[in-house]
Amino acid sequence: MTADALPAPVRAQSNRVLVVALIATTAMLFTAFAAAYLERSGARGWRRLDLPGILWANTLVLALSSVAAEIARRSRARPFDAVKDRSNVASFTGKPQGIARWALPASVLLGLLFLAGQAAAWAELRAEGVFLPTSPYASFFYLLTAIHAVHVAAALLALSVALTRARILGLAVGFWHFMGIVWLYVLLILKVLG
Amino acid sequence: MEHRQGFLGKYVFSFDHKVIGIQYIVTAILMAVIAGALAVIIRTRLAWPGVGAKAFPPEAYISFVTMHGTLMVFFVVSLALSGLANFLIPLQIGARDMAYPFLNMLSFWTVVPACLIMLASFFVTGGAAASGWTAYPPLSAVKEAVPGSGLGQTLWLLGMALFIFSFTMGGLNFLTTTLNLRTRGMTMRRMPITVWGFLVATVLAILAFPPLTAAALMLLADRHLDTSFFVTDMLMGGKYRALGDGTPLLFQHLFWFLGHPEVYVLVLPCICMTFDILPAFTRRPIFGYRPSVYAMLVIGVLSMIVWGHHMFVTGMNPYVGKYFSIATVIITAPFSILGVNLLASLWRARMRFATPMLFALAVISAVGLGGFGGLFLGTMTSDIYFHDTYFVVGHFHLMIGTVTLLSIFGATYFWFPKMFGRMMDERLGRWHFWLTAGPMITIFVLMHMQGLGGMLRRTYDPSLYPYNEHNSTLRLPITLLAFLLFLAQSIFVWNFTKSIFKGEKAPANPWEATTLEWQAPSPPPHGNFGEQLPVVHRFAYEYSPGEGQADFVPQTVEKTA
Ligand code: HEM
Ligand SMILES: [Cu+2]
Repeated sequence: MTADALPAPVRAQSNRVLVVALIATTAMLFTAFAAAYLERSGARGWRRLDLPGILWANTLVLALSSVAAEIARRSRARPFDAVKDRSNVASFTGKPQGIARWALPASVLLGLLFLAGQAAAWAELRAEGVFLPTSPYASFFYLLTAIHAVHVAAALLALSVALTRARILGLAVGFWHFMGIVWLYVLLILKVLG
Repeated sequence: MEHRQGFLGKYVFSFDHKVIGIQYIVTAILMAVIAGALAVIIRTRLAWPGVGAKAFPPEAYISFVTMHGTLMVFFVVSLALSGLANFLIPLQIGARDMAYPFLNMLSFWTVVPACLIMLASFFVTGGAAASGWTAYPPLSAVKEAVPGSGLGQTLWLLGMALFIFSFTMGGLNFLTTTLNLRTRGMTMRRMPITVWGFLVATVLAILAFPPLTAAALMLLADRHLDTSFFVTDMLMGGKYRALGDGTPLLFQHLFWFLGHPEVYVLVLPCICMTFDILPAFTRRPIFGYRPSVYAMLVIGVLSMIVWGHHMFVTGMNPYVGKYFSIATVIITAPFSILGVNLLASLWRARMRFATPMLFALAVISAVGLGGFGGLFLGTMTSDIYFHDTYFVVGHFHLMIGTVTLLSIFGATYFWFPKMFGRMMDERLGRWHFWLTAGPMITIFVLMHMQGLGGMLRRTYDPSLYPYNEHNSTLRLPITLLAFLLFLAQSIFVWNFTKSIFKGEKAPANPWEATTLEWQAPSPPPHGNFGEQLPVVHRFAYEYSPGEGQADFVPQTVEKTA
């Protein structure tokens, strides 16, 4: 493609549809897992495990990362120096100033820290002798967290691309927030349901 | 628009939706030859159980049935429809290409390895997967269950994973393109109904495939990582195997949550393409454009909540069964609206019987026959008898076999001039039509009869069971018709290949049709519409608008005050 054959507004709009569709299809994936989990948790021999405490720290890290990503998005949407020039308000091209410059890299780093934290949680469970096949609950725990981690990795990739391509920032951040919501959903399933 | 040069860029890794569309269609034709050959082997085995018993033991039979179904549903019909969607959507909405041409190229080149993996699985130890196109555990979950449960099943899962990935990428393109790239004046209500069909199908696919992905991941874990999502303790070959206490039925729920919407993913675009073919040969607008679109939307929603009708005999709570039964019968209402609108589109028509029209007419009959059988299956009480008999086999072959293939053939004859700038041979087309529609519909109606007689599906030698005696009369006729059907397809392959190079040159609008693709040259150049994108001024089907006016008015013609 020569830079882009489509007018910028059309491109932006279809990117938005693309992300909504991606979110919808990912949501259905986790809904299916949740349905399977609910079905299974009603059966005999179902026992929950104590989950590693580090998961709470990871949750916090992911939340902070989302906040940082949001700061980055807003600073682009309304560059501090563009407030005077109202015609520029909605553009994504303004350069953020001051601390906001570091928001996006910080968000990516926090995301990586989250993944490291998840790996630590797995290591802790394995040290306790809890492996994927140990019990149905353990199977679901590893499966759900691993599938979530794979999606987080993909979303982080998108965020990293947004470091240099501001055009997709809004969408990458949108998907990133969605990853945070899915994580809360996974926690809800694992801690509360069943 | 980038214009990629060189053979590789132009024909192999092309970004052009038209080339990608044709690539999909050619791939589907190649896979159809293999899937069809499997059907011939299956029918041979059923008519003469002794023949080839050494070369094809019972394990091989069930393996062939599995792969025949898998290839036909996902690698023939789905791919052919992906091809037609790729070719038609941008042309019909007045776009220069898909919204994400690179992604489009990627989705085709993801499905190619999927095809190869599926085919390779025939040649590994134990042979190809043998757990049915539905991959039910425990056959699909316990590696030692039957020979095909080994490496063959693993490859099946891998191939399906790649297919789903590719199909989702393709769907994202169809969705974004349809919603955002329509040309000026092309409102949603002016879109050719084919585009609507693909739109509804795409949304369904995007929402319904993930549960199958989830099921496949859990199945893989059961197979290779010792979990027990779907496997339970069981007796195998006389020995007790402690496998855990999973629930095989859970897989069925997840599978059919996809499986049922998937049948509409296949059939809605096909019905819509038939709608699109009709007016060019009846010279009348299609009947009930808006009700048809609404009916499709309703079908789309309902199709996601009726999956349990595939599981009536699994011991589900009768109240749950009742619910699924009622929901299923409700879905026949919007489905009938589509069928009746197809029929009514013929009302008072001055028909032109060209090959695409013949296929369209046959599609209408198949929709009626297949839907009629569905009523008996959707009613729980009768389904308890019909389940797992040839009645079901006849029903779904009429629907996702006959309706889809006949309309795909019709669509190919119809849009071939646009694809290659040449006409297909009309005389060969007629021969192909009669030798295809005739045997196909007859075969599957006869299978309903066998099912009424209680003949079970997935049985490699029906003569083993005394209760089946009275069903034996139809076995040979069906097999002979199947041979005829298979051989007749060589007429199509020959016509298709020959016409690409030697067909009569086609004008831009050979059928005198109104939609945008016919206002572009045949074949359309890169970028489809030259310097200026067309502007749409009217509804998609303005045929015979009134006394003293032209016979048809293309969508691009301005309204005069
Ligand atoms: C008129 C509306 C329809 C009704 C009420 C209906 C009902 C059913 C029911 C109840 C079954 C399960 C039978 C059993 O296994 O015992 C079934 C099977 C099936 N139907 Fe339909 N159906 C309808 C239309 C369709 C359409 C439009 C398609 C495809 C485009 C379709 C494709 C299938 C397939 C593929 C299966 C069997 C899958 C298998 O067991 O391998 N049906 N149908
Ligand atoms: Cu169904």
